[in-house]
Amino acid sequence: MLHIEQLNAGYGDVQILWDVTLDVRPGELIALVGANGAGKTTLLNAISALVTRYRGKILFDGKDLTRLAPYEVARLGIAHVPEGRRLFPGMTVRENLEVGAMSKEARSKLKTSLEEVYSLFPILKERERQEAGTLSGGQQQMLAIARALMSRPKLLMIDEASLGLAPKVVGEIYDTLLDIRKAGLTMLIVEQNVALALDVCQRAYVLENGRVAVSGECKKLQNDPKVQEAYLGIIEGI
Amino acid sequence: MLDFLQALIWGILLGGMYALIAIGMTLIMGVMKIINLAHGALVMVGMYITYVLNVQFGLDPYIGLFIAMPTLFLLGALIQLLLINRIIDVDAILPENQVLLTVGIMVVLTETMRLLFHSDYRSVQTSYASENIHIGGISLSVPMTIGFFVALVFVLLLHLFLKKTHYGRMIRATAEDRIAAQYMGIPPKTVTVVTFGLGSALAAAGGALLLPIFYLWPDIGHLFTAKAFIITILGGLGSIVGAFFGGLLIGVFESLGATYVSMGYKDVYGLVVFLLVLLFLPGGLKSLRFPALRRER
Ligand SMILES: Nc1ncnc2c1ncn2[C@@H]1O[C@H](COP(=O)(O)OP(=O)(O)OP(=O)(O)O)[C@@H](O)[C@H]1O
Ligand SMILES: [Mg+2]
Repeated sequence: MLHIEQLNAGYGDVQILWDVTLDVRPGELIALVGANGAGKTTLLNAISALVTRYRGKILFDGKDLTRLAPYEVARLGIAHVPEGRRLFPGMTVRENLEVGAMSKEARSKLKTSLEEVYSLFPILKERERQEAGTLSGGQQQMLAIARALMSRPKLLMIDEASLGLAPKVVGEIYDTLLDIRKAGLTMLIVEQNVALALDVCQRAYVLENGRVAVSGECKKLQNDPKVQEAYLGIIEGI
Repeated sequence: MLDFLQALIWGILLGGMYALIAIGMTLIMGVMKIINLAHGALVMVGMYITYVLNVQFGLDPYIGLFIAMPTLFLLGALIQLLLINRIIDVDAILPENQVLLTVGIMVVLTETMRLLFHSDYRSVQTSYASENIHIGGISLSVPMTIGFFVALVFVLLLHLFLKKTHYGRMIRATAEDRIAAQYMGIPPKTVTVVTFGLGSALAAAGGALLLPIFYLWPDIGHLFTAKAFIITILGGLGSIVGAFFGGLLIGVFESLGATYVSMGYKDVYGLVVFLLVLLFLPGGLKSLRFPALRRER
């Protein structure tokens, strides 16, 4: 579904990603993990066309994304929940969701989509008329995910689903994400909490200094001593 | 007391028309984060179009308005498409330079009009220009009253457009967060073109409404740029409701000042309000909305 090959990308002259190769197949939940500054956000933004791509391929359903503008990528069916959520703070919850449904097709299914996201996140229905900027952190994260779902995407990318949220809320959000995945949506998720990510994903990519250091099935990575030591805080011999 | 009421009402009527012009500037400010210093020149061009339609074809200014508006929509959209959008793409050019570009556009528009019409003062002759409606002891100028209510209708229409339509939502989303809007699949360039067109059309509307009241000459644009700028800041940069009340406030101060202090300093009173607001309410009128009320609407 998404095929990235030998991608080099960065900000102007500052190259961040080096020869990144990554695949997302239909129905998969892929985790992208790595230390702060490893380049996870940059990779998602390279897919969304918001950073400079120097070399390499990004194919989505066979279409080349490297020459498209950000809004064109979004309209192909890639929804991006950005780092920091970037809600429209002065617009109401409902209006944020409506803006999420931009394409003609999404707009024609607006009612159905609204019902769907409200049943996933009932609190949003309660807060429908409240300005997004006044929601709690957890509610904002739910709204950011719901807003992305309003476009009825083929691929959902989430940058930091759990950052800054209480464990209980993280649990709720991940339960919902797993439900969405069962319904067939493909996901690429950046997650600080590596243990959590490896628990729910099929495959994972570990970025280090802008390169893919390790990748593979999540179950295997969970038992990989290198990953355990670097990301799971498990040190051999203790 | 009657004098005061009279001055107050005249100020509100005039302020409504100023507000319309300033809302055009505010709209552009909100989406592009720049002050459009050609805004007054666009008002002036709108006035000349309405003027020519009146003297050449005998069209009433209130009808000419409906030709001036789409024409200025087109002019504004083209300015954005062909000039401003081109320099947005160049990383080496700072956003501030977009403002410089609008100064250039202002000069070109003003001097083009001077070439065509010279610097002469002009005005339209209408049957109602000096008519008054009398209510109680107060007399209301007919063109000012019509102008106010037409302006009010346009402000309400704009409000509905921004709130209820797909395009309106795209404009608001882009104004709130240009990057996030792109994640949603909103094409930012299209939005800026439509916004600049709309802002220009509102400028033209304001100009056409003021034509029966004001003299017209190529440099009148500077006056409107200054007023719209003050009102935009007064309203709290990018807030349309704020700009509307800011417009009324400036109108009232001008009118009260002209009545009680001196007619000659009419354009100075606005600046005084401006300074007071910067000193005591730097967030503009927008910041007056109580935080408690902000939570739920
Ligand atoms: N706008 C920018 N201009 C230049 N360099 C940038 C820019 N944004 C990020 N970088 C650099 O790119 C590198 C990768 O950043 P990125 O945000 O992709 O990391 P990340 O893996 O998402 O980290 P985190 O977990 O902290 O979010 C960092 O070294 C960062 O300093
Ligand atoms: Mg990041």
